[in-house]
Amino acid sequence: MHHLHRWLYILSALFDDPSENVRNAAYVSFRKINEENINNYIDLIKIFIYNNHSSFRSLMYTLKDINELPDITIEVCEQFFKIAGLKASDIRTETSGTAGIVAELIFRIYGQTEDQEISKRCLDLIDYMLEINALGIEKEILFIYP
Amino acid sequence: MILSKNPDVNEIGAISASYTSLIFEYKLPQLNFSLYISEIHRLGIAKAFAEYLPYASSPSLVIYIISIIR
Repeated sequence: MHHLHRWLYILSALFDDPSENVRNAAYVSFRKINEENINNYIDLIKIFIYNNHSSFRSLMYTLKDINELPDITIEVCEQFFKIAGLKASDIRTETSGTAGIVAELIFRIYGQTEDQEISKRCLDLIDYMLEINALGIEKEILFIYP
Repeated sequence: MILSKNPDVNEIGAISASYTSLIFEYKLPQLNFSLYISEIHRLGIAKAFAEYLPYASSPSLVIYIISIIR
C-alpha cells in the first residue's frame, strides 16, 4: 500500500465511509472512467472491490459502457457474487438488478478474451449464476441459444 | 481550472501542516477517516473526487480538497 498514490487512500476511505451519502457521492467518481482512461484506474477498482461491501452498481454501469473490457472485469464480477450471494437472484433487491449487468459483462469477457484461465473463470461464474438463478443469466443464454 | 478560489500560499502551508499530515502521511486504511473529518466535509471531498477524478493525483486537486476541509 505504501507505493499507492495518496489520493487512493482517501478515495478508498470514502468508499467505506459510515455515511451512505458520502459513499454514494464517492461512487459517482466511477462515471469519470471511460474507454480511454480505464487502465489508469485498475488500482482504484481493485481497492473498491475488496473494500466495499455495498453497491457495485456504479462500477458495473461504467464497465458496461466500455467496449474493450480489461482483465480486471472478471475479478470484479467474481467479487460481486462473493458479496451478493443469493441476493443476486432476489428480484426485490437492487443487487439483482446489478446482477443483470454482471451477466452481460461475463458473456462479453468470455467472447473477448483469449486467455484460457479467464475463459474458465467466466464459465465457472455462468455455472454459479445458473445454480442460484441469478437475474439476467437466462436472458443472456437465450440471446445466444434462442 | 480546478480551484474554486485562490488561497494564499502561506495559508495553504499552515493548513497543510494540520491536514495533509493527517490525511496523506498516515496510513488511512488503518485510520478511521470519519473520526477526524466531519460528514459534510467528507461529502465535499467525495464530490470533488467525483467531479475531478482524472486530476486526482494533481497538486491542484489536493489544494482544492484542503479548501473544502477548511
